[in-house]
Amino acid sequence: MTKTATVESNDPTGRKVSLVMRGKVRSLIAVTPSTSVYFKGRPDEVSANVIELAATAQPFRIVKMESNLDGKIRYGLQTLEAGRRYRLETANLLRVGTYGGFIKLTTDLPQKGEIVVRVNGAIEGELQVTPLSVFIGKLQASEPERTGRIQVISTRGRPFGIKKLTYDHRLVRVVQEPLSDRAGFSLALIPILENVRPGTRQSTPLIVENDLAPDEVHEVEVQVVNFPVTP
Amino acid sequence: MQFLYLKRVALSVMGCWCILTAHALPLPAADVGSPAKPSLSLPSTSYDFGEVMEGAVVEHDFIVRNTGNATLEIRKVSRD
Repeated sequence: MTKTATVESNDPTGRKVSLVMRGKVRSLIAVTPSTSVYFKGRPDEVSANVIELAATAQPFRIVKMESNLDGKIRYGLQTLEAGRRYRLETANLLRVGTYGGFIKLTTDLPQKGEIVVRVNGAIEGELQVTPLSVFIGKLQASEPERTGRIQVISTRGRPFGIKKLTYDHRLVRVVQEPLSDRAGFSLALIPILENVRPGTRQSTPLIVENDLAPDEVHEVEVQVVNFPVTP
Repeated sequence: MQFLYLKRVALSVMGCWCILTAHALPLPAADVGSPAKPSLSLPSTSYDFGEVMEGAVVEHDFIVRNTGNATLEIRKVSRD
């Protein structure tokens, strides 16, 4: 750490003087390799993460452990040497999706009351659906009616079929076509503006279910816009 | 007139506190004939605490000396 302070005086030759103080702050608890965890990849390929916490000066105990990612990650603390060394193991539970949060460890050291471990995840499913949000219809008075396109592909290049598409048939028509260059489908989204009052917009989720990973359900938010035509 | 001034500034970073203290020393006698003016002099403008434990409070005194012949006023000490 380096901190500076400025002294101002009525000395006409040097009205401001900077004072610098330096020091190397030694942590009471060494966290290795770091206080952040990132899970990225397919769920079966993401391995568990291990963080070790070690006392550098005085012994400590972890008195409480909490997270805002319950259900998305699994975590547990193991005592390697009571008061001195602990191991925090974290694993991903999510099948598909992203998350960001923390695990908070409360200690009995007044000088270091808590240790926060940041946890982020970007878990790829068997299928990748892009984009996850789309605007279709008449977005501007001067523009023609816009359609949308969604791609559904296998992240491992495995053949699959779309088992079911769920959406509001009053608002949108979906045309499914296989991709020519890889395992996947293109979904054309055609707005049905007769059912959207001019000057308003309506949204419908488009839910994609597949036969390769039946437990993976992807949802796309489709906004159907009907901009009013100016008289 | 002798001017005595004391300022304390606490600086914090990464849970470690530093306290800075500046003391003014007595005013020297004025030279006859030259316009009176103060002159701030600091023998040292930096200090290294070395290794400090997280959460510890560390202190250092910086000595401010007036080598001029008028009263030196410390008008402000601010953290950057």
